[in-house]
Amino acid sequence: MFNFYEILRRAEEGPYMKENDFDMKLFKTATNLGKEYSLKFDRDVIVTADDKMADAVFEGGMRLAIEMGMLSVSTLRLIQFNEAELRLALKVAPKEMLLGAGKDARTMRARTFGNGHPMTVCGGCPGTPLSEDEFLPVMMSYAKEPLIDIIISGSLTRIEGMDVRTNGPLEIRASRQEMLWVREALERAGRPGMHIYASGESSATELGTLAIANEHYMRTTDSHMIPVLSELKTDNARLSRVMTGYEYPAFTTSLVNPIIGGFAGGPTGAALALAAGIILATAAYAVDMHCLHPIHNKYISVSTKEAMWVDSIVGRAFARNAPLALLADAWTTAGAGTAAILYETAALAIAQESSALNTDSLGATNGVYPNCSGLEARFFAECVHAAFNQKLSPGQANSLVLQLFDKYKDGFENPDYGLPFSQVYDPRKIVPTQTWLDIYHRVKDEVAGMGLNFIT
Amino acid sequence: MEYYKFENPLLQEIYNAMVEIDSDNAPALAKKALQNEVDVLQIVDALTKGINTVGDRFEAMECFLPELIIAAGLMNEAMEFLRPELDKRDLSVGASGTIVVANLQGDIHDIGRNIATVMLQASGFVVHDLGHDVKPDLIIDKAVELKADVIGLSSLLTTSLPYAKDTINLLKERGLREKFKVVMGGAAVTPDYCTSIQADGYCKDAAQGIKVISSLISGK
Repeated sequence: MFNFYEILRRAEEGPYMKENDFDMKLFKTATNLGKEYSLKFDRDVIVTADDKMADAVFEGGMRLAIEMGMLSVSTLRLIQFNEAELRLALKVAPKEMLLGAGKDARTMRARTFGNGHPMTVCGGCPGTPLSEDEFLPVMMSYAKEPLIDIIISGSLTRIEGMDVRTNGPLEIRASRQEMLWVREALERAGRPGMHIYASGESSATELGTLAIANEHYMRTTDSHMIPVLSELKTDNARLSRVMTGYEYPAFTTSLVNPIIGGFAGGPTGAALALAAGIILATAAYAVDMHCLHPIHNKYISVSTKEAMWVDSIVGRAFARNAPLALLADAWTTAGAGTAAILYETAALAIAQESSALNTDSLGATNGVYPNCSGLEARFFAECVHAAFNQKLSPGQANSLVLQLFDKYKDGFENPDYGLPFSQVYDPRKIVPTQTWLDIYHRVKDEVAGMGLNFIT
Repeated sequence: MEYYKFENPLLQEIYNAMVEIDSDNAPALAKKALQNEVDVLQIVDALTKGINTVGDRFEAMECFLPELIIAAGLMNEAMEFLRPELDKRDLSVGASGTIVVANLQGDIHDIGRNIATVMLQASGFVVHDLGHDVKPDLIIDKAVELKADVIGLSSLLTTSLPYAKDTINLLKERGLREKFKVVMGGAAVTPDYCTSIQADGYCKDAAQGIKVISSLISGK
């Protein structure tokens, strides 16, 4: 990695640019690159096999990263890199790492096509607000799922009856309590060494990261997240998280979430911004992994055609040109207890597995309601393993994804948010209710009928 | 999506220039129309219909946020010289209402608020954008100073939502609650949350926000 002090120096001494000018320059540059490379989004091709376009997205993303750099909105200075620096950063970035400890450790890979390994499956409920009462049983529902390799927490939103507030003291307490409870959930499930991905989900600021950088909370075998601000921006709060990781050797992951329809433009511009964001985060943050989360400007969900395509083309782009450990978010519109969330889950799992991605788990109801459970995460993993073992071609995967999309597309306008955890699971036994299991079996049979060969 | 037709070719050109966005001709064409003694209200109407079509195209993902911002800038540029003409004739295009918008304290995610601001402006509201990470008392001070009808609060972060409750409680404590309608939007906001803190409206997205705010103002 680069000397981080050099990054900080650039953040303080780089060329000055107003934020609005940066945004408009991004739009112009991404639009021009999209035209130059003839990038096209086809609503009927979600899982792409277009190597030429994937290579163009990578090269276009590289040029966008060089042209734009990363803007520090704290200083309004550009953190710029030349091409050699960016390519070196990609070259030295980790390609394989052991996450977690002991028998529970799992290998996270920079995936390529046909390398003989399925994705590493992360289970959990990122972004989901959870009360103190429901937190432990919800997390146990994920820890108990054997196909889940690593776990991510929801967010504790209240402590002793008080709201957890951005930049408030309770962000510290909530982040620490989150880690203690996730670790308890892992111990009670007999998997104490499992990797906790993006630790400190209960805090939106660097306070949480700093608070848990201690073996009692976040172990050095866990990871924490350092977001890139949309689009291609950072600030002192994000860089403080990098500084924390610089001296506390837990794993780190970026979060790159271009808005489709935002400052980079439509799906092709968002793909370029995602590629550029990954490249810049590799250089500026020196992260071990990247979380991909393209956001639809109207529906938010990653299960839209536009967002799944952006993930797919970017996954293919990096697998072919600069393999990195990429984890795609799988945020759904629907919630637990509905057939709709399972259709969305299957589509996302098949699309991501077939695009050389790993997953950063489901975020039911886009992380708005606590309507989530381990069962839909189980289904995600089952779909991943089925797609991998079946060696689905991109065309076959695409056909399945399109069939599934038709099943849930109406939910974007009229979402079925489902039910809270306590109504889809027995919260004492941590097992799904019969009703929720019946829905799961029905949808699984239906997806099998579409042509996905489940192993069990 | 509705594309408008105008009998007067100059008005059609103004409308087309707004919708095409690529061209920055709309203000010049509006000026030309004014010089040719086209009725100023008709010129404003062509511009307004143009930006509304851009808003519809944005909703349909046929154009994108920067283009929406550019179109709003063109509209504002044209209104700079049209407004005095309206004033001269004692005409008003009737601002639909005044809104202050802000991201709640601690929340630095601008994009949703940017979209809402431009779409509301395009719909004829006077919008004062206070930016991100704004404290409740400052939001209220600005709403008072700018004689706002509506306070619009946005948050992507669950951990910033409590500051919305603070804003409403502070409005009550300062005896100002009845003066302003409070609406909320953003990825972390739910209708239930709005109800729980006694906000006046929930906006799922910018398009719904326009309807909610129009309805609140007309019933105020």
